[in-house]
Amino acid sequence: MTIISHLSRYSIPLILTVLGGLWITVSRVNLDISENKSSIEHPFTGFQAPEFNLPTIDGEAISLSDLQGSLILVNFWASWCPPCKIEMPTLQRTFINYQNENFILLGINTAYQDDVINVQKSLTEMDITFPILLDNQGIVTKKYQVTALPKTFLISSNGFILDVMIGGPLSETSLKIKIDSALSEK
Amino acid sequence: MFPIIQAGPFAIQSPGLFLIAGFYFGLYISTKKIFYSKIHSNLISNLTLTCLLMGIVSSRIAMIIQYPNAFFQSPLSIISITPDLFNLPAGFLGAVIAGIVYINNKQLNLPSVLDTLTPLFATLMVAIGFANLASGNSYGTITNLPWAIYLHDEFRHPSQIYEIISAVVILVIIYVSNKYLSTISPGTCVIAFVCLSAISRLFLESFRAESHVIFFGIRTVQIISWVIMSLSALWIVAAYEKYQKSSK
Repeated sequence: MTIISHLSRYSIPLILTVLGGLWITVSRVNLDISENKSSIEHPFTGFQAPEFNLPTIDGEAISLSDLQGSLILVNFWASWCPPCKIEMPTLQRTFINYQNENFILLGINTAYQDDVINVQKSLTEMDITFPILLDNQGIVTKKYQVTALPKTFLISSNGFILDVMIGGPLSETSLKIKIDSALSEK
Repeated sequence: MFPIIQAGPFAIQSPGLFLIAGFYFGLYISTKKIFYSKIHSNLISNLTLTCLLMGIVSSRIAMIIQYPNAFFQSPLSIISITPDLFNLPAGFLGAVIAGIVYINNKQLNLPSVLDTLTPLFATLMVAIGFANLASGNSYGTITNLPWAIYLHDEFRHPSQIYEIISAVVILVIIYVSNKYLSTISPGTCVIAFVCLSAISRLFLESFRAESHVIFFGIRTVQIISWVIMSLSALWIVAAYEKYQKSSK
């Protein structure tokens, strides 16, 4: 009698526990058909970085797949964008500091909405020596869903997006922490 | 997905904006509802501000201890507002410790304080839902349901919207039943919130694409929510029984 009265009093927690257990079992992940992010190219953390092949400002062509095996930082920018220009010295210092590491820094100028003369002038003024690619058609900018500038992607050595930094200017400390962590995880 | 609100030359991080708005409105609701408990609204405002400040300071100190070289290279970043430079678990711990110290100093009743703050917690859950929707995080699994949203190159469950709806429902329940729950026993309101949130998480986690799986496809978060839900439901029933006996 005592057991029955206890059961009836505690029926709500009991029902919740049983239903919860059933739901966990029913809704478990089907590991055979679950989404495999490694095969999807998408500009978001955890996905494969979309492939690109762009000319540098000096005319040389660089594609992302050629750089596999290195940690890559890709920064989208424009010469008319004040926060982009503010963070350029930070990126240049990062480029210099990690020159001897397995790290590559690329700047992608949204050239389809910029003036190449202004780009070159800005690079000279700011003493930028890291490679600058020109997205003349805006295809890569669209692929990476760059709707606000600057936008920066940290890409692992096997091509996965580790971090997306939207807006700027970037914090040098934060950038150093992210790059050091990614390099040490290798 | 709208992670940035461009206001002229300023790029405002919308997830952060939602969290700040959630904190502000939550605190407003909590202090409005204060007449149910016997705690002065100023004490609650001071407590939350103390927790917030200590949370910020401790999360930054933890980050400096973790990465001294990075901060040594540019010392000004110690006072930077960059969200990436905050250690959230350390911030949470710092806020909890500061809260406990404040409550002890002012000789307040901890369960009553937590009951008073429950609308703030519930509002923050709504804000977290909006922040996830804005940033594109906590996205849903692929589906072909008519209400699917196109996100990350696939039609997916609008898991963030499910979370917002669930959090709003919990907020309304807490807001309406706050007075009654507080009369059962101090702490019932916050435990009811924990129980409802655990039920919500247990159910909605199955629509999230990025869940940590513990074994045989079973999600870790669901197991944790299941345990929390069962224990909190038991606590509420026991408190209600005690209340009924004492009121006879």
